[in-house]
Parts: sequence; C-alpha cells; structure tokens
Amino acid sequence: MSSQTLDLRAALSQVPKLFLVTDGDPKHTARGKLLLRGLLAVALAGLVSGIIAFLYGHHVMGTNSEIPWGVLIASYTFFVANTSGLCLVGSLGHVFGYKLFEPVAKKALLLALINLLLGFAVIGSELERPLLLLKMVLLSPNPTSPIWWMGTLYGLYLFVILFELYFLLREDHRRAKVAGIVGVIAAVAAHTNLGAVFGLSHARAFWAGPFFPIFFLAWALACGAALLALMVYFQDYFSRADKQVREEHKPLLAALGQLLALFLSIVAVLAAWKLISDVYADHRGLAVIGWARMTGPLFFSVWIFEIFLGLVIPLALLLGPKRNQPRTIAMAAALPMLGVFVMRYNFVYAGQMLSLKPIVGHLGEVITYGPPFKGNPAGFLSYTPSIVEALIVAGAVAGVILLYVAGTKLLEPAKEA
Amino acid sequence: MARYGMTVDQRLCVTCNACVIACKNENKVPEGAARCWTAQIERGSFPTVSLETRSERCNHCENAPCVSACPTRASHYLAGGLVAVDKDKCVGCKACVTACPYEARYIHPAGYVDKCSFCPHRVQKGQEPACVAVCPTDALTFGDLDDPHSKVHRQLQTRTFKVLKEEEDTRPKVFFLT
Amino acid sequence: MSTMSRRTFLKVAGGSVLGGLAASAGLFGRAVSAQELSGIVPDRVVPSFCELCFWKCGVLAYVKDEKVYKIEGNPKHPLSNGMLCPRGAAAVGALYDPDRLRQPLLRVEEKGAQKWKPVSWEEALDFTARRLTGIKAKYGAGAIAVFSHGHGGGFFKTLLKGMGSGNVVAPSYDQCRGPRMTGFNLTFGLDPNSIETIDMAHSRCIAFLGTHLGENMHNTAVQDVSAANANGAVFITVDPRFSIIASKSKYWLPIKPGTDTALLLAWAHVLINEGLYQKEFIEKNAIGFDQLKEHLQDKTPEWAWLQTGIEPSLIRETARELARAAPASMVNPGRHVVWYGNDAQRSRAVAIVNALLGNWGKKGGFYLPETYPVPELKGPKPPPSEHFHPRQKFPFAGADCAYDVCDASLSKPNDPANVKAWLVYGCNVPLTLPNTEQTIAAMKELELVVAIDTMPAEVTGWADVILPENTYLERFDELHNPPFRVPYVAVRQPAVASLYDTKPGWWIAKGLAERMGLAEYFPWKDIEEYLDKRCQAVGIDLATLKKEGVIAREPKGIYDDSPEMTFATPSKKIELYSQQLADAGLDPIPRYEPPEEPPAGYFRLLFGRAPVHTFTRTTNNPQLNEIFPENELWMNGSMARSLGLKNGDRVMLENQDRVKVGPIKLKVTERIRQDCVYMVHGFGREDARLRKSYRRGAADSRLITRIKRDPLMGGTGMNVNFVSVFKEG
Ligand SMILES: Nc1nc2c(c(=O)[nH]1)N[C@H]1C(S)=C(S)[C@@H](COP(=O)(O)OP(=O)(O)OC[C@H]3O[C@@H](n4cnc5c(=O)[nH]c(N)nc54)[C@H](O)[C@@H]3O)O[C@H]1N2
Ligand SMILES: Nc1nc2c(c(=O)[nH]1)N[C@H]1C(S)=C(S)[C@@H](COP(=O)(O)OP(=O)(O)OC[C@H]3O[C@@H](n4cnc5c(=O)[nH]c(N)nc54)[C@H](O)[C@@H]3O)O[C@H]1N2
Ligand code: SF4
Ligand code: SF4
Ligand code: SF4
Ligand code: SF4
Ligand code: SF4
Ligand SMILES: [Mo]
Repeated sequence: MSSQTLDLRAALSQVPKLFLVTDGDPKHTARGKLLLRGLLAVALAGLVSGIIAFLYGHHVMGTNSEIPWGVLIASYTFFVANTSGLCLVGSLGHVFGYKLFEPVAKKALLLALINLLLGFAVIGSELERPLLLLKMVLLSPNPTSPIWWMGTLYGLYLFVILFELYFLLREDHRRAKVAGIVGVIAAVAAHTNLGAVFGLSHARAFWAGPFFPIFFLAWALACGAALLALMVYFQDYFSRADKQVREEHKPLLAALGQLLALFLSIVAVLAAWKLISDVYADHRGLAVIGWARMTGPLFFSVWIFEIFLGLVIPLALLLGPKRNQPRTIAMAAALPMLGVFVMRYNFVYAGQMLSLKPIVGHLGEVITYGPPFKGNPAGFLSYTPSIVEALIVAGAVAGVILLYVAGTKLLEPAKEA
Repeated sequence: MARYGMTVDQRLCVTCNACVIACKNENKVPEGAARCWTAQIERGSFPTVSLETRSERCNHCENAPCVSACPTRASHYLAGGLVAVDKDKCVGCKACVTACPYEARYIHPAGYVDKCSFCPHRVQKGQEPACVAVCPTDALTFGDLDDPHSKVHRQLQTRTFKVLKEEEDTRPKVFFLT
Repeated sequence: MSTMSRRTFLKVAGGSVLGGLAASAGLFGRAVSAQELSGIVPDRVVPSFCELCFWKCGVLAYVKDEKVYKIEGNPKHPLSNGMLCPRGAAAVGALYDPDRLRQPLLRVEEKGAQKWKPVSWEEALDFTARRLTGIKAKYGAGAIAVFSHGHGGGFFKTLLKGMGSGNVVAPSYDQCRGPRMTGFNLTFGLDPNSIETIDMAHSRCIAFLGTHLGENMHNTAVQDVSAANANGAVFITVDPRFSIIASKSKYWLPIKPGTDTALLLAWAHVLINEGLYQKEFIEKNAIGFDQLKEHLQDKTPEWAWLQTGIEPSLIRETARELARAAPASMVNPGRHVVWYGNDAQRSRAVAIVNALLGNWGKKGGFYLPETYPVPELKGPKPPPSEHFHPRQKFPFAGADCAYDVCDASLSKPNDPANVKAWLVYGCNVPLTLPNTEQTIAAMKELELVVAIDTMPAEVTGWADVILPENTYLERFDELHNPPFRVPYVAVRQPAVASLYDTKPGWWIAKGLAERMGLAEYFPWKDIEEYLDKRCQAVGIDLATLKKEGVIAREPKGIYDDSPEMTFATPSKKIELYSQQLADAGLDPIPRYEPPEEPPAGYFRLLFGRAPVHTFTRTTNNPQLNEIFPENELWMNGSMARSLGLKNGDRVMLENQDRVKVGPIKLKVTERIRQDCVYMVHGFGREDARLRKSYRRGAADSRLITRIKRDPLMGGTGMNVNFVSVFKEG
C-alpha cells in the first residue's frame, strides 16, 4: 500500500517531464509545471462542479423538461466511445496477434479504463440520483430499458478491462487473450447498446433506428486508432524516448494512421448518408432537423467541425504525400477527437431541438399551448450548457490526461529511476 | 380489472385552464411545471377559420415507451392501466422524458420525474380526478373503458374521436372527442 | 385644490421579499414531495363563496396545517355545482400573493417627499373618520362618494347613507351593464340582472353579440352554455373576432364593429316579414307591433349587409334558425354592453328580437327568477340623502354614473369640482374608468381618497389612506341571496385567520361609523351576530348554513306559460314601441346609427376577457399569472404582413389623441377582422410592487381617451378609440 503511494508520488514528480522534451532546459521544465498546474486546476474545478451538480441536480443544469439531455450525456458517450475504441484497436496485438501493436496494449487499456471511469463520473453528475441507480440496476432491473443495459454492460465491462489489464501486467498472455476476447465482445455490445439508448427512443425522429449503434461503433474505432496514435506520438516525441525507440515505433504509427484513415472513411460515408437521408425524410420533422444541420443553425458546427476538421482534413493528411510522417499522423489524429466531440454534442441536441409540441402543424395549423409549454416561435428549442456542465466536461478531459500520465508512470516506475 | 381512461370533448372544452390550476393545487405541482395543459389549434384564414380546443395530459399509454425506457421500473403500469412513476425508484436519468412522444413529463425540482397520475388517490375514494371534477364545461370524463355502463365507454361508441400521435403506436388511453 | 399638487403616485411596499417568499412557499413549495396515494388529508373543509370575480360561486376551501391548499366548487351551491372557473380554483394564489397589502397605510409628507407610513388601525380609522367628518361639514355629504364593486361594498353603502350621501356608484353600471338594464327595463320592465336570468341550458338556439362566453368565464353561464352545446343547440356568434364561443358555433358572423343594431333590425325584419315571430305571444303581450313593423320595412338583410358586411342570405338563415327554435331560443342579452354609446338602444333592439321570439318566461328563454327572502336588518332610517351634481344628466339612468362622479371631482374653468372625497371599495378606478390620465387628475384634486383593497393596485397609489381588507378566504361577509332560478342563501366565512394585519370590510365600515357617530346604522356587536339576526328572520340556523355554505329551496316556478303576462312597464305590456322614449324626445324604436370610421392607418381598439383573469384583480395572482403573464395584441394576418409585423413582435400602440402604450406582444391571427385589433383588459399594471404583473402587457384603459356617452343612461361607450401599431423603438 505505502509503496504504492510512494510510487504515485514518484510518478507525479515525473509528470512535468512528459509535457516537454526532457533536455533539462529550465524554461521547458517551467512550461511543463505550468501546464500541469493548469490541468490540475481545471480538473479540480470539474470536481467541484460535479459535487455541485450532485447536490443541486438539474437546477444547475442548462437542461429542462423539453431538452432533458445535454452536454453531459454527450461527453459520456464521448468518453466511453474512447474506451471501446481503445480496447478494440489496442487488442489487435495480444488478442488478434498483430505483433506490431503489442507494445501499446497496456497503455491502451489504461487509457480505456481512465476514459471509462471519467465517463461514469460525468454521467453520474448528470443523473439526479446516481447512487440510487447503482442500487436499482440490481434491485429493480428493467431488461426492456437500453439504459439498464447500458449500466449493466459498462459495469461488467469495467471488470473485464481490469482483469485484462491485470493479466497483461502479470505478462499472463493466455489469460490476457481470453479476457481480451471477452473485452472485444463487451466493447462492441456496450457501445452499440449506448447507440441504442438513442436509437430506440422512437419519439425522437433524428435518433430513431439502427443508425446510431453502427455509427457509434465506427466512430469508436476511429477514436481508438486516433488516441493510440497520439499516445505513441506524445510518448516518443515529447518525452524521453531516444532515437532508436522512435524508429521502432514509426511503422506502428504508420499502421495506426492507415487504420484511422480506414475508420474515418467509413464514418464519413455513414455521416454523409445520414445527412442526406434526413433531408429526404417525410415525417416528424426529421427533414427539418436535417436541414438545420445541413444549412440551418447547426450549419457551422456540422460543416466546419464535424466534417471539415473532423473528417476531410484528417483524411487528406492521412492519404496525402506526408502520410507517414509522425507529425502528420499526430495532427490527423488530434483533429477527429475535436470533431467527434462536437458531433456528439450536436447529435444529442439535434435529437431534441424540435419540440414534440410543434407550434405549426403538418397542414400549417397554428398551435398554441398553454404554459408551461410556450412552444417556440423560432421553431427550435434552445439549449446552452450551464457553467457547471461545461466545467464538469473540461474537468473530465483534464482528468483523463492527468490520470493517464500518472498511470503510465505507475506502470513503468523502473524506467524512471 | 378496470381499464381506466379519459375522454376530452373538444366540442365542449374552452381551454380555460381550470383543469391545469386544479391539478397543480391537488398534486402540488411546482411552479413552472404542469401535469396537464391546454392546446388551441387554429386552421384556415379569415373569415373561414376553425379552432380545435382541448386539454392534454399523459395518455397512460398501453404501449408506453416511457415504461420500456425506464431502467429502474420507476415508471411502471399500475393496476387499472395507469402509468405511474415511483419517485423512490426514479434516478432522474430522463430516459422516459425523451421517450415520451407527448412531452407529458417534467423533471421535479426534488430530483425525480413527474407527470399526470390520473389521481389514483381520488379515484380510489370514488372521486373523479381533480381536473375532471373542476371542469366547468364538463369536457372531461374519466372512467373504465371496458365497463359498458361507463360514460367513457358510451362516448367512444357513439362519438367520433382521435388519439394523439397515433403513428407512435403508443395506444393512448386519453381520447379526444371531435 | 391644495391637495392636488401634493398627491403623487405612491407605490405600496408589498412586504419584505423574504416574507413574500415565505408566504408563497406553501403554495409552490420547491421541494414538495409527490403526493402519496392517500392524497393530502385536510384538517378541515370550509364552505364559502368566491370573490375572484363578482359571480360568487360556492366553494369548499381545503385547509391543512392552517394553510388553504386547494379550492373546490361546492356541489351543493347552485352557482358552482361543484365546478369552478380557473380564477376560482386559483383563490389560493390571491390568499398567498406575496405582494398583498399587509397593514394600514397613511400618506405622509416628509421633507417635501411623500411616503407611506404604516399605522395602526386606530390611527387609520381615526384619520379617515376625521377627514370625512370635516369634508361633510365643509361641503355637505353630497361631496362624498363611494365606488363599490364586490360583495363587501354593501357595508360602505350603509355607512354613506348614514352620512346622508346618496353617491354610491359602481363601474359595473356605466362601464358595464347599465345600458342593458335601461334597454330591457324600457322593453320588459325587467333587467336580466347580474346572474343573468337566461335559461341557456335549455335553449335550442342562442345568438351571441360579443358575449364571449368561454373567455368571459362566469362559471354558471359557461356551464349552461356548455350544456346547451352538448345538447346540440345551434349557436350563432356575432363578433369581429373568432372568439372561443364562435369556434363552438354553427354560424360565425364576423360583423363590422359597431353595426350590431343594423343586424338586429334586419333579424326583426325577417322574423316579421316572413311571419316567423311568435304571433300569439306578441298579440297578447306586446304593444307597438305595427309601428315596429312599419319602422322595419326598409331594414332588409340587403340594407344590413351594407352596414354589417354580413351576406343577406346568412342574415336570413340565422334569423330562421332563431325562429325555428323559438321560444327556446334567444339573443343573449350580453353583459358588458358599453361599446359605442348607442348601447341602451342596441340593448332595446336585442330585447325586441327576443320579444319576437316570445321567449320571456319560457323554457330556454328568459326565466323569471326567485329570491330566497332574507329581509334586511332594520337599522334607523337614514337622513334624506344629498347628491353630487353631475355635469350631464340622463333621462333613463337607473343609477348615478361612476364616470360622472369622477368628472364632478375634477374642476373645469369656472366650474369647480363638487365631489371632494372618495371611498373606493374593490374598484381599481384608474384602470377601470375610461381615460386613466383623467381619472388620475381627479384623484389628485380630491381632498380625500380612501382605498379599501387587498392589493397595491393603481387606485392605492393615489389614495391618502389604504385600508387593507382580508381576502375572502379570511373573512365573514354579507349573505348572498340573489334572484336566480334556484332561490338560495349562501354564507361567506373565513377558511383561515388573517395572514396579516388586515380586516374584513364590515369591520372597517363599522369602525368608521362608530368614529363618526353613526354606530346606530350597524346595530350589532360583530358580523356573526349580524348574520345570526338575519338568518333568524327567515328561520335559518346560522350553524347549519356555515356547515353547508348554502341553503337552497325548490323554486315555485321560473317559467310562465300563461298566454297573457303582465310586465312592469307603464303599459304593463312589452313595449316594442316606447312611449317613454318618445315623450323624452328619443327614438321610440331603435334606429341604426353607423359608427365612426377609423382614420387611415388606424385600427379600432377592442378588448375583452381572458378566462384566467378578472380585470386587474387577478393579473398579479401567482397561479394565474403563471398561466397568462401578459396580454397580447390580436391582429389580422394580412394586416400584420402589410405592416411588416411578425407574430411575437413587441409593438407600441398610439391612439388618435397621441396617447402611447406598450410594448405589447403581437398575436398574428386569422381569428380577427382587418379593421380592428383586440386585447385583454387588466394588464399594463403601473405599481412596481406588483412584482409579477408590473409593466407586463399594455393597458387598454390608457388608450380609451374618448368615450361616447349613452344619451339614455350615460354609459361610457369605450369601443370608439382608434390605434396605430408600430414596432417598438
Ligand atoms: N374570465 C373572466 N370572465 C369574466 C370577467 C373577467 O374579468 N374575467 N368579467 C365579467 C364581467 S363583469 C363582464 S361585464 C363580462 C364581460 O364579458 P362580455 O359580456 O362577453 O363582454 P363583451 O364586451 O360582450 O365581449 C367582448 C367581445 O365582444 C366583441 N366585440 C367587440 N366589439 C364588438 C361589436 O361591435 N359587435 C360585436 N358583436 N362584438 C364585439 C369582442 O371581439 C370580444 O370578443 O365578463 C364577465 N366574465
Ligand atoms: N378599459 C376597460 N375598462 C373596463 C372594462 C374593460 O373591459 N376595459 N370592463 C368594465 C367592466 S365590465 C367592469 S364590471 C369593471 C370592473 O372594474 P373593477 O370592479 O374595478 O374591477 P378590477 O379592475 O378587478 O378591480 C378590482 C379591485 O378590487 C381589488 N380587490 C380584489 N379582491 C378584493 C376584496 O376581496 N376586497 C377588496 N376590498 N378589494 C378587492 C383588486 O385588488 C382591484 O384593485 O371594469 C370596467 N372597466
Ligand atoms: S377545465 Fe375543462 S374547459 Fe377548461 S381547459 Fe380544462 S378541459 Fe377545457
Ligand atoms: S403519454 Fe408519455 S408519459 Fe404518458 S404513458 Fe404515454 S409515453 Fe408515458
Ligand atoms: S427518470 Fe426516473 S422514471 Fe424516468 S426513466 Fe429515469 S428512472 Fe425511470
Ligand atoms: S388526472 Fe389528476 S394528475 Fe392527471 S391531469 Fe387530471 S388532475 Fe392532474
Ligand atoms: S366565476 Fe370563477 S371567479 Fe367568479 S365567482 Fe365563480 S369561480 Fe369565482
Ligand atoms: Mo362587468
């Protein structure tokens, strides 16, 4: 126990190193410390906000009875997508036997674990009574509820990852492989089910159907590849890795780049058809939402963030002449992470942006509702995250980075000495 | 077993909101929320216009997406076909809120989701739901849809009616007499 | 005169914000847990009758832990029959409105600035009594007037009579029902009264001129009209606006505002010329038929079409519908009829058409009401009453006009004011009388204004003394036994003790009387003794009455099918031709006068009711304000487009006299004619202490700077103002 804590302290003392080239240049060390402090501050703010959310429930949220789900649900799907993606891509080595990927397996699982834990933290702060959920999932299960499956599957999934990681650390490859196979299944099941949480919500035309389970999975794979690429890149080029290690890792990075290109292309095709099929829709305002994303209020975030920065540029880079250069790959991996976050935010909002109490009916009737429902003259309901919500998300992201950095130290304290 | 339902006579309803207020006091519904509400649907252009007037609430659907969506069975079917929320089981995940095609639910400040209950506390005492009792136009009728002697049953035999968002296949038990 | 310069508008503090929240917490308690299956079990259920408007429905107040948590209709009460309108259901909101008046207030001067000084009831009543006595000594009792609307007003009338003044006025006369009284009295010798004596529930066909029942939410009337609707009665709604009742009607006649008399005459023309009227009834019961027939010969549907814009075929068809169902059909007499200044004559035309339908005393027509006989308690005979001197006189006025009292309180060049003091009970005169600015000028000039009210309304802002009354849920009051189809007597009693240092009307009036040496007019210790005495006089046990809330008995018979009836007119007959009017040099048979046309770019300003509000009385009620926080300006879609205005725009209104109000939210709708705009009365509140309603929406009263007085009775026709509409800023 105590040795553990010691390791931890040792690890944390190493942390600044990871944020800069370890050339002993005091300027760089200082920058590293600053960056660390910044991340710590954000993480802390997130923690406090989380507690506030826990105490005051939806009073402090930007959500309401007409837009019940907001940025917290969106970020939750973001984090657990990373988890699934990292497991899937990360297990190419020890599960599917692609030697090339073996070096990243542990760190992949570590990052997956951290994403999952912070995902839980985020959804926990979104729930009005998170603790009750833990109890009720067991005591009062409802198998027809995607959310119940979500809780159950990701709950189990957590243990699978822990085992898998444990065996890998113990270098017990046989058991690790078994756990890995289970992990792969769990990853797919849990994350497609999460897509179904929306897909089975038939009242919301934009979400309804099997599209999002599939789309989620495709994006998860892309995120997995992207994060692994970033991981390798940062480790090798921003810290102490020597030339030789870098050279060793070049093919790995390249391979991850190609995988990412593949997954992003799949995502792009799916995304394109979703956009097109929506504007062709003839019912329940789906087309309205489609056009809102295509040309309306969501135009900017969809075209610039989701499509241009999230897909077009990365693909261009990954298919371009400099496709094998680590820098290019890193850049091409960073952009989709931004894109996918925006995409998940937009998608959660788009599903709810049209009031189910439309103020203009199918035949142009003018519908006036008595309060509390004002209808919405602008046509779309508006949602802006509250500061609390925003800080929770920022804090979670910072938390992921810090924990990962600390974690890597824990995994290999030896090297440090 | 009774199958409770409600009819709303659009010919009689004047969207006066008495039902809304009576319900809010009866069920201590917090400020800014309501378990029932009114709707006016205006059609046509001057001078050939028409107006539909009605009071809406949870439809106590027989195929209720809110119930299937609820992870904890807090939203559940009660005897008599009522759709109820057990606030002690509700974790506030809002899955039911997004699942309900009628936006019939609201998030109670106390941290659970609430909606029209069909006033079981009154019904079991042999009283009408508060909104039905107060309605000065007698537009609302509550009763056992299966009981051939009930007024709701007779109305559905003799009047034309519709349910909201039939295409959602939720099989509502609130019927709007046209 | 000296007071004039001194009295400025004072805002009444609505108690500490904290107190406010505390008071309302019980209502909207933020963290109330959901109801257990058992529901709340009340500690007691108190029967009483409602004062959220002037209809007085019987209610049951449910009390738990000394808090009224809900109001239900009293099933035994013949006005509510267990049902309520939204306002009645929201009485809880009136009781726990955090902005309520909480203690007596006195206007005082401090370093040149005026402010409210909270005072004891002793001080407030002493002051008021002293000032009233002084004014009476100086100018005579005729210089003192009472404005009254609402059930507690009777005690102040007694007080005033005791003082020797006859100046009891009510805006519910010359801003409301007055013209109808005159029109019907001249024709039938009887007025439909305040609980309109119309048997709508059994009508087979009803025509509504305005009369927007469903928005006009008088509980029993709405119940009756709904019953008729359920029985498949035919409704004909004549309204420039597609009202709620229009949406329930087989016929909507979107009439050009102000032309109803033409339509009525054309209906009468059709009924007579097609021989559709109730011949026997008219022969036996009416005089002047031949003059009427002759007068109507050129009042053809084609003629009326040019005036009203309603196709002749439609006029004929609707007249026939009325005739087909006669005598179980009616033209609803309406209630708020002060529209265009020719309103008594229009009401007479309504009466005449009804006469032709032979529906007087008939099932489905006008029934003959009965009153539960509760004799007045005999006090000493008051002195002969002095009257103020109105600047205008009206030959067929049934009462003094509130407007004339206001006018007589305002000095004109070498024509000094002759009214010097007002006691205002339950009337928000600045927004109730036409032309707010003028009313305020009068209130500035007056030497004493006493407001007996529950809320910091505009009227209190201009008062010298504010005597805060209990809400009806905290007080005993006069019995209620109106003429109605079911004779009954109802009692009002407190459901909970006074929340604040407020008092019931009877106590205030009695207190003033005692201080003015008029105690003898209140010959009883307290209200319960008074009520007990009144009950004993008819052999009712007050305890039982309190337990039930109401005691009713079977009517002897509200219909009269005898072929020959007698009427309280000079001729004892229905006077289709009115000799009285002829003798006064007025039209013996209603004559149509076309209304003034709106100037180019202007709309005629119309107004009416929202189901959830009573004038200014409820606009701040937390429960009702939540449902309907502000009024909107209705405008026809094509007009809005041509003005480049969109639904939901905030617009300003300016009338022909350059008076501006707003901003008000625009409601673009196809439910109204192009030549008029419409808003709900009661908004645009001007006292900042009305925290929920201050400056929400706009006040029609400010825009009503012009009126047309009714030559017969002085009613203030208020639909004669024109407004232009433009975007804010
Ligand atoms: N909820 C609620 N109900 C109320 C009240 C309240 O404050 N709130 N007040 C009560 C009282 S005291 C009264 S007096 C009544 C008043 O209620 P009503 O007696 O119904 O008053 P009206 O002025 O007849 O109704 C207004 C309608 O007349 C229409 N109108 C305007 N000008 C004309 C015209 O030239 N011709 C025709 N045919 N129609 C026209 C308007 O478009 C509007 O629809 O309401 C009573 N009921
Ligand atoms: N512009 C315009 N003017 C109108 C009308 C209109 O439609 N438009 N309508 C006209 C008609 S039909 C009528 S009947 C009159 C009505 O005119 P008012 O009788 O003046 O009606 P309110 O405006 O409701 O004013 C009621 C006042 O009584 C107070 N009050 C409420 N409850 C109690 C109580 O229990 N005790 C006491 N002492 N006071 C109480 C309220 O706070 C409010 O200040 O207005 C007429 N004037
Ligand atoms: S109370 Fe009756 S009339 Fe009024 S809105 Fe409700 S249902 Fe309609
Ligand atoms: S109306 Fe909505 S809340 Fe009510 S049962 Fe149906 S789905 Fe559930
Ligand atoms: S919010 Fe409550 S009732 Fe609704 S689904 Fe979640 S747990 Fe069930
Ligand atoms: S049935 Fe009860 S809970 Fe439902 S709307 Fe009516 S009063 Fe409210
Ligand atoms: S009509 Fe409504 S407000 Fe008026 S007395 Fe009756 S219940 Fe009260
Ligand atoms: Mo009135």
